[in-house]
Amino acid sequence: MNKLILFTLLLPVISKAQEPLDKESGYFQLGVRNVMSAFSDDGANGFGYGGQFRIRVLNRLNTDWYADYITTDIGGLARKEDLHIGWSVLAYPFNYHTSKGKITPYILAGHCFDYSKVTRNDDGYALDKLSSAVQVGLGMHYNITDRTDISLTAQYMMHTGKDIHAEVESFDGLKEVHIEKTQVSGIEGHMLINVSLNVRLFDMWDQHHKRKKTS
Amino acid sequence: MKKIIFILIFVCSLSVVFAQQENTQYIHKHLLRTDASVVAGYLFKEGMNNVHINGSTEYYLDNKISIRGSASYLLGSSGLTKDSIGLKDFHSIYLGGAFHFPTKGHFDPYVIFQPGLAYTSSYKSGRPALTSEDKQTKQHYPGALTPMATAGVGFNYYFQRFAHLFVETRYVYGQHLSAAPSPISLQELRITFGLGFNLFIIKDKKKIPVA
Repeated sequence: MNKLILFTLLLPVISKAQEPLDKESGYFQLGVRNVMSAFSDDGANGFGYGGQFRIRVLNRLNTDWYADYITTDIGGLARKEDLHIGWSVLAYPFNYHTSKGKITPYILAGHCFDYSKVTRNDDGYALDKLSSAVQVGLGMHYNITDRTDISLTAQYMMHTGKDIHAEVESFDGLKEVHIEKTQVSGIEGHMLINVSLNVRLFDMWDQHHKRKKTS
Repeated sequence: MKKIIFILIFVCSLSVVFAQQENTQYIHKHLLRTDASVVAGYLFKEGMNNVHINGSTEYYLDNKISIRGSASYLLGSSGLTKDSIGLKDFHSIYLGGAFHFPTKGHFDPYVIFQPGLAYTSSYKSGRPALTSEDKQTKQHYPGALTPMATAGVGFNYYFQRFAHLFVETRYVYGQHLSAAPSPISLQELRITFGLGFNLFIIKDKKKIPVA
């Protein structure tokens, strides 16, 4: 019985192992990105800059290690800065080949550490927090050439721990911003949409070179 | 005037020489190019004019893709926002890639995408100077780091072994957020042209014909 369960669990791996020893795993990619943050709790949209490197561990599995810095204007009264450092696992359920002109869709899930600071513009009053978050999303690479791609990703980032909430209130036509730190209850998060440009630099396993040598 | 005509004739004559050889694409892997130029910019949301100095270095990974790093420094800015806010600093660095359209010759058109980061700061303009000894009052706000994005189109023309001409226009996106009363939109249209230098840093191995 145990053997049957083990065989059932290993079946997808065995079936993948029968795929031609490809060519896609082991590559190291380096890239830069622009990030848009939307649908956050305070309703403000942010814009950011970042970079990432990717290490492709299997034909159908990639890892993405990134850092980004996002700034958000809160009603012209306060500003928010977010710094994310994290990683994601990218799985390619359909096409996984990197070849010119092809689109490679993927699903992703990951984790990040997050530093946020909200500062009021008029008096400089600020609150900050350090927390962590998990993210899930969808994306696709468009392979411009065999070694360069543009990637578009939409992911929802859910934060844990404390949240800094900024709310713009209006009294007699005069706008004010109220900033407070609260404990997250339920799902508190935002959508991150990023566009990145990535270049495949080298083969970390050096398997292609070795394969060429042996053949 | 004579000098300008002479330079134009000289450049055109070089073009004619190359035009006779144009059957393969000049650019290819291992080409390194660099340039420095003055950039005219217009912040169209704020109605402000900027002058930057920009330097770039670019490496061609193959005949279609290159990686480019750029840095620009704001030399001067004129104009104020509706809240009388002006830009004091707008210095930025960019890193990204360009896609080069294949051609048969020395003409190299491309599109470029470069995310970046800028150091920006602003000031509030006070009352104007009333006498020659008087100074205009300005309230300066602390600087801030601003994420940027740029996309552009342009072309290089490799008219000489170590030099080329270039023209480029690009759209810059960003927003300066600071202690100033209102944010400044950094959406800018930039245009630049000039002379750049290029070198193939690794020479292609010549194929020895087999007898």
